[in-house]
Amino acid sequence: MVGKGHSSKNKENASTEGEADPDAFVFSTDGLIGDVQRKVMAVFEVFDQQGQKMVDVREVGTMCRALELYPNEADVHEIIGCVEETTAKGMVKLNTFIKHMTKVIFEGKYKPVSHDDIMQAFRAVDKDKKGVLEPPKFKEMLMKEGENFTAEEVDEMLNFAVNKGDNLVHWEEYVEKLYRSLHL
Amino acid sequence: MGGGASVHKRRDNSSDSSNDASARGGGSSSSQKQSKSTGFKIRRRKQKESLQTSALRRSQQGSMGKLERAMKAAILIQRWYRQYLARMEIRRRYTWNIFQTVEYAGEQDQMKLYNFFNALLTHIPQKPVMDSSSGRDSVLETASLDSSENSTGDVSGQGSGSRGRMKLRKRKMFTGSGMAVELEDIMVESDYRGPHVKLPMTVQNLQELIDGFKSKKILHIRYVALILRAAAAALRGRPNFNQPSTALSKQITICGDLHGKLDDLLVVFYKNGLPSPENPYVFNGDYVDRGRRSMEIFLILLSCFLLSPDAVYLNRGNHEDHIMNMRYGFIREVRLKYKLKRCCCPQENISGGRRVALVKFLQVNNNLLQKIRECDMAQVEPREESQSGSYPGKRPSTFKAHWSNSGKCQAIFPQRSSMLSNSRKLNSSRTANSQKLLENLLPQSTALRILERIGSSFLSEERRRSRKRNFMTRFECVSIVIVEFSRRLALAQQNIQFSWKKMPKDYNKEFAAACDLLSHDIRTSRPFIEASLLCHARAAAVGAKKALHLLLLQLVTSVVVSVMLRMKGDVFAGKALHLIDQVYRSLPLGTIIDGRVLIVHGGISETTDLKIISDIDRYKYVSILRPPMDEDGRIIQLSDLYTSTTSSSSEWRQVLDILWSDPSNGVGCSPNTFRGGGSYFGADVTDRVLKKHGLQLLIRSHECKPEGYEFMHDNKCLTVFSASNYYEEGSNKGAYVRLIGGPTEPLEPYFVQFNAATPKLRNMTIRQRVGLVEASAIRELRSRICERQDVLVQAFKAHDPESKGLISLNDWCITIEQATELKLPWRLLRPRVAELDLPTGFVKYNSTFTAETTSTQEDVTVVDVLYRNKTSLESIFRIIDKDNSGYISMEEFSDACDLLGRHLASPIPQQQMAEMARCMDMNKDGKIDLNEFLETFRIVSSDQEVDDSLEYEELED
Repeated sequence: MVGKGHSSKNKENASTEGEADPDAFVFSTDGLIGDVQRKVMAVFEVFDQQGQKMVDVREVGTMCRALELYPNEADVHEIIGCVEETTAKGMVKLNTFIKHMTKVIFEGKYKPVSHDDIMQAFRAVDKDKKGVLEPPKFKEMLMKEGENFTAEEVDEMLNFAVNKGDNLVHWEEYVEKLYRSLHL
Repeated sequence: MGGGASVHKRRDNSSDSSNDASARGGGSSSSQKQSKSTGFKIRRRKQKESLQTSALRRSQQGSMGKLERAMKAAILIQRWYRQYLARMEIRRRYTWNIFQTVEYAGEQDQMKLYNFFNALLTHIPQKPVMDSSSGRDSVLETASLDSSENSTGDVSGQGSGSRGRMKLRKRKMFTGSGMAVELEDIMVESDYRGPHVKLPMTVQNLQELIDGFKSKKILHIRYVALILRAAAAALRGRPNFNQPSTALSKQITICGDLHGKLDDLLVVFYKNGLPSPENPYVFNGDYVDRGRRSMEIFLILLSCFLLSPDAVYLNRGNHEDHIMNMRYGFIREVRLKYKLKRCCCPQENISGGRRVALVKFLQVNNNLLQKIRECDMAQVEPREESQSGSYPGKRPSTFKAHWSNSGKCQAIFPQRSSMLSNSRKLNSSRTANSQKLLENLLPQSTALRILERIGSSFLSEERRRSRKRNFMTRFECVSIVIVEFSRRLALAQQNIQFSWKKMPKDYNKEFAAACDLLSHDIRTSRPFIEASLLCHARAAAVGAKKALHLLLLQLVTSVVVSVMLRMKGDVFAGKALHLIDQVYRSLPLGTIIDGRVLIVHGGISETTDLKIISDIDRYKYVSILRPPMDEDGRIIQLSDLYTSTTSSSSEWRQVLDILWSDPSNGVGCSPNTFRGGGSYFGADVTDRVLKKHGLQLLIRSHECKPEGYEFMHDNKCLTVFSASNYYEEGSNKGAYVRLIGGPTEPLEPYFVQFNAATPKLRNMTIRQRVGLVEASAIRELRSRICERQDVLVQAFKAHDPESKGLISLNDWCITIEQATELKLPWRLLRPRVAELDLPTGFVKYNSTFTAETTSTQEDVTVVDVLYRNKTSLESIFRIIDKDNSGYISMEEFSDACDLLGRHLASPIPQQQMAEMARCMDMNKDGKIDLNEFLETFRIVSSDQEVDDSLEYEELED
């Protein structure tokens, strides 16, 4: 019932399908590499619902992060530089993306931010060492420092971070909550 | 996601956090501002990043400036938080994928069925039905005859004459002339509290209508007919493309799909004002289906159109189609709304003196009943009586029918009734009593037959309405059964003289009076009613005490009343649906603003030619899914559609494409296999078609978008979708777009997003929102998985020769994708669907079915799960059941088989067909009801051998 236009069949039988469709990605026979490639492909397909084997470059950041990499914005830019099509600007092809990301993953780049690191960072921000941050100051810092957050991002963050009782950010508690949901 | 309107001026990209990467990158660090080469910039930043962690540690020791430390910390927090946002985004995305895939899979099924449907629709009515109709049971058929006419509405006009005659004769047989009432002639009852409508439409009138709908009133059928008929006539005069101009108004508003979500339409009107010449609107199709207030939306829009025809432009959508309505709920909605509530309960129908007479009649009976109860029926429980208060008709006696029969049904069908008792708790002592009672009343064999029939129709009815399980529906289906039985008996036993003398004298008189007024009020021939009543009385007299005989007589009377009223309601709904079809056919196919902006529901394809479409006689497309005949009178197959060169097929394709297509990211044009109809069109196609017609912008709807609108194809193709929370609360915003500017200036689009959701949703964090919607999507998925459990288990086992209960993640993904026929990111969904065996990394496949079940819908799904493809089968059933009687007669079945034979390589032999029919007719009454139909498929599909011969999907080959 699923239409022929979809790449689903690649998964079933990579070799025969590869002959029929020159664009189809041929998975590595190495189990470990093949698995990573399939995972990259699964993420890619979430953003490529129509099975065009192309996505917009603007999705690259989210896709990388969905692969449990932790790039910053500059890293994302670098990745885009590597995977963007030269002929079709603004688009990324499935095959290019899988190849590059598999390489990146095996190189061990863009390591996760560890629990320690993030706690250190908050400790640095919490100058008075009270374990709490005042939302306006925290907001200002996030929007003016580093890779400036947009108003939308910051509001979304504070909406969850601010304790409804005393209207302060209890950052240790917050880090725990978010950390847990990131490492389900 | 707030309730307040956020007006955006052309936002190019929607939600991704990484999209403004460059902007952020540039301003992030002062040291980078001087660097001109991007390569350098990236290198610099990269170095910084890699040093970051260690730098931070050093900073702890005080070797770094405070400012820089804060910046490092900020970067780290931001990076970390964006990771979190991205995770949410991917969850939101695949949730979206699930909903869309499940939605389109349904549409695809419907499209796949259509060859089959249409073959049936085209051929069956042309067969001579006269001989069979006399032998068939016309009572129930005739009731819904008018609605069946909808589905047979013809493409070419041929054959309608003979059908018309046939219909007429059928009607005569049953009702005499009384039933042929035009809806507009129906008087509005004095106690009607809903809105009133008068033509020509006024602003006050429209406001009253909207207010009425807001307070959940149902518009009287008379007014419904008035609006529908006037709108159909007015729309009919429009060209295929509306041609509004912004010369006067300097602006125009475009709304996308509404899908029965009245709240969204009301929000639009609240924010943007009612349509007027200064404030014109284009509504881009898909007003009905899915939502529960489709009828209201449709009526409001048509009223707006009638009020200001030069300010409201209505396009046809793919859901303005009878065949889509069958599956997606609009037909159900109309039937529900106009079956019982309005015009159908006795207090509203039976007026004045006659009503008093009826009440008196029932009172007399009630007194008798009371006496009976006192002496020998002490055990009868009064529970039903207490419910009667909520029933508008206040006929307590009728409820006896319910208890006695439901109890009996349980006794006769122990297996089925166990399912029933899941959903309803029946008192066992009452069951026994009622059983005894009925056995006393009726000869054994007759009783059995009635009860068998009751059992099956009861169950099918039960299942069909399991969501809205209320007392009336159960009662009703029992009533139909009894009356049908009685009618048959009456025909068979007309020669038997019934002895009136055995009846009490006053009762006799009341009885006659009741018959009289019933026949008058329900516009049914008196002999019919009398016969029904008498035959029951007679049946009762055969072996029963007099008291019980009276009880039964009374019971039957009320049953007859209710059935008659129900039939009348069905006729109303049927007629309303017929009028709605007329409106569909009259709806223009698109709108072109100032000759610059094309607005169609779906989109375009590479062959789209507006000139060809302008010349089409759109009125002949009763259903867009219904293929026209080609020159040789053959039906065009979907598979031939894109290769065939005949003029009728290319014309049809033009229409199908503009109503069903979706834009794609790629280039070129390909058939839309995901939906099963229409095309995918790339940016180049948009460009070419717009240029060819001198247009600047294409606005379309048809696809749900998270933000309510989305630009594609270099801002030349805009999607607008106006139903918020379409998949689930919080799944998407709704939006409309205002184009501002006159015909000589550029048109600037302004978007308004809205959310008609409950306030509690507005304050949720992204995590809660995603979580909520995701949970609902996973539930949806789970029900699909459970439907196919048997297939899945087998497939899993095939991958697990040693029966360890484990298979590789890869095999799991492939297997589940094949079995569910859903193309989804199963690898990512796995944590939500099945457990992993940690040491091996393999999937414990049995956990696919066991993980948390949806307890809220348990009692619904328990029954539903039995039937794979239930929705499809139900659709097929309704098609084969040409006359909408609720049963497939043997003639209908053989017609269907004949057709099947023509589609299959090897036709079904006569003998085998008869055999099949006999198997399906489990209760041997010569007819197949929906329950039997579904039951057969269940049995058959668990029996692998026979499976393929009956699966409808095989038709495609």
